[in-house]
Amino acid sequence: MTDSGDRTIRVPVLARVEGEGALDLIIRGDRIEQLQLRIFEPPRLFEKLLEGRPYTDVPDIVARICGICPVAYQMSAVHAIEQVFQLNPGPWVREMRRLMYCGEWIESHALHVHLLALPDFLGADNVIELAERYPDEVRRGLHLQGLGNRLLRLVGGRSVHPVSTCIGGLSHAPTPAEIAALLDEFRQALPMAEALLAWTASLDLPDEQQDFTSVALRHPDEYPMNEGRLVSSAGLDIPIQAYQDHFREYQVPHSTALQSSLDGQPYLVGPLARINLNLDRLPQDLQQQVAACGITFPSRNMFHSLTARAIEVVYAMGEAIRIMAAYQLPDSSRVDVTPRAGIGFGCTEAPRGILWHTYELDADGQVQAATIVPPTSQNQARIEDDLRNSLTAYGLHRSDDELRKHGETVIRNYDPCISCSTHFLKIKVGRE
Amino acid sequence: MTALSVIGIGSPHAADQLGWQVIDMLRQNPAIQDLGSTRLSLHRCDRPGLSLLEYLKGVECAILVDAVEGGTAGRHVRLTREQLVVDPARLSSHAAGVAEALALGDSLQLLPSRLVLHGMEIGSAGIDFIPAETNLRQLAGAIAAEVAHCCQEPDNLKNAPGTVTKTNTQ
Repeated sequence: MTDSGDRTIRVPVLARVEGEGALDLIIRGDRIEQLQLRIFEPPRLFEKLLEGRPYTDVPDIVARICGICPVAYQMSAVHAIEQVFQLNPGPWVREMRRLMYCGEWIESHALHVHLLALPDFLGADNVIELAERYPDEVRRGLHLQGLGNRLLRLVGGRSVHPVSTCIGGLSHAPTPAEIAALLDEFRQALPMAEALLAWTASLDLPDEQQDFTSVALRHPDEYPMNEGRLVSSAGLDIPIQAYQDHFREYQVPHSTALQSSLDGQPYLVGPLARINLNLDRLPQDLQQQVAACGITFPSRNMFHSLTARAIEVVYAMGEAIRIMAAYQLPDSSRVDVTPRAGIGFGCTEAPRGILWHTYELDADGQVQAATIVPPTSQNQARIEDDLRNSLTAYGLHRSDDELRKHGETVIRNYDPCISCSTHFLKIKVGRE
Repeated sequence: MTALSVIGIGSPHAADQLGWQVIDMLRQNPAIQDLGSTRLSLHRCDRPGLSLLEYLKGVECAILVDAVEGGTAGRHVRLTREQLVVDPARLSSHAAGVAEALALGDSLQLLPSRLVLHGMEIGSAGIDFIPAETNLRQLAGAIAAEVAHCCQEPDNLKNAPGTVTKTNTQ
């Protein structure tokens, strides 16, 4: 129990979150009077940087927005630009882009689960402390993450900021022998991913039910990555080009990152939203594993995001195996491109949720305008809502340190990337 | 997996390239070529983060090559495993560097028993530092000598002096 009155806590450096941010909390009696998720990363101005650049520069520039999910930025960009050019690169390119996304989901989710989230749920300060108590599980996580990176290196040329993605296809096709060697390792590692799913579902996670709207892509016959319509748990079902008719970006005084709302309300994007809306798009055998894991999806417990990520690791491993098993060397890894003027839209499923791009190009394919809406900024308002609910349920009478730790756990659970939009967490609690 | 690995850590940016440049020089070295890929593997590693542990898996001896922040620009440093494995102050997926990867690897018993880092200090110039060709060649030469020494008798690397060796070359 803390004393009443004004109190301020400052934690100058906190680990296991990405970017510079803070949480300000004012508690009056038994209620939260003000809660602000402050993001003070300076604007990175990528949208303006793209203006005047040729379309060929776009995939390499947008990849630099994030070192963890560069493929997502490249995928949303190439789909938007190819829409302008009325270009269909064909089935081989479509499968290779999906394969790259599998690599990114595996490495990003494996990193978040083991490095950032699990220490919170297992009472460790960091992954090194976690590794002393759960060495086999952490080794398994590192192995899965390594496989994701190797897949990115093979198809993308390198794992950080891959270089093979271009408008019309890929600049390079892996050899069948290279694919076969990695395929063998993926087959051997699939049981590890399945064990990760069962293990995360068996953990004693906080049981908090909340009301929120899930938003994700939905495809007619596959689990969404690069294509689909935008759907929500509240009944939204729109083509991606209608995004700005329903979603609105707005500025709040306490954040340099824009927040987003869907028809005026906060919403959730990311693995839990995807699973909640696309469970029936998972392969039958994986649906059975999910049904047997002990957690019922759709779930209203945000902490089930941990298991949602593990489910997606299993899915991405299986999908990568499917694509690699059918791999054939193409005559060409890209199709010819003829620039045209117009406006195009791209929306793909980054590890942290939908990533929406639009580009206006001139007849030479030069960028006239660009808009990029990353998933973390879309989740900001939802995180603030979650913090209000979760901290109140946890008990506002608790010590500042307990509130800080619980707040960090809530925020980390979203895997926020503040550099894409936040390093946590300085918390300032005012009590009146 | 080869018994001995030399891993150049870096990126395409300015001073951060020097780990890769040294690997390129070693690849041109006839004595290194004579060892063949079954005895020695050379890697150019792009900002590996925790994936560095993948490169160390199953290796008996590993030599890391990297730019080292601070110190005297151009000075060669050699750090042993005991000096490399320290508790990192912080760890995030976006900022997991060599020290963090090695600390985690030590905790999981994934590190080769024989591990050293050959680096070049970049002084206060930071990423803008451009290493002189002679310094790069001296660094590559020191690594080639250590490889040769190790191949003659694998325990040599393990038994190398535990103190930092610094050679002021610029």
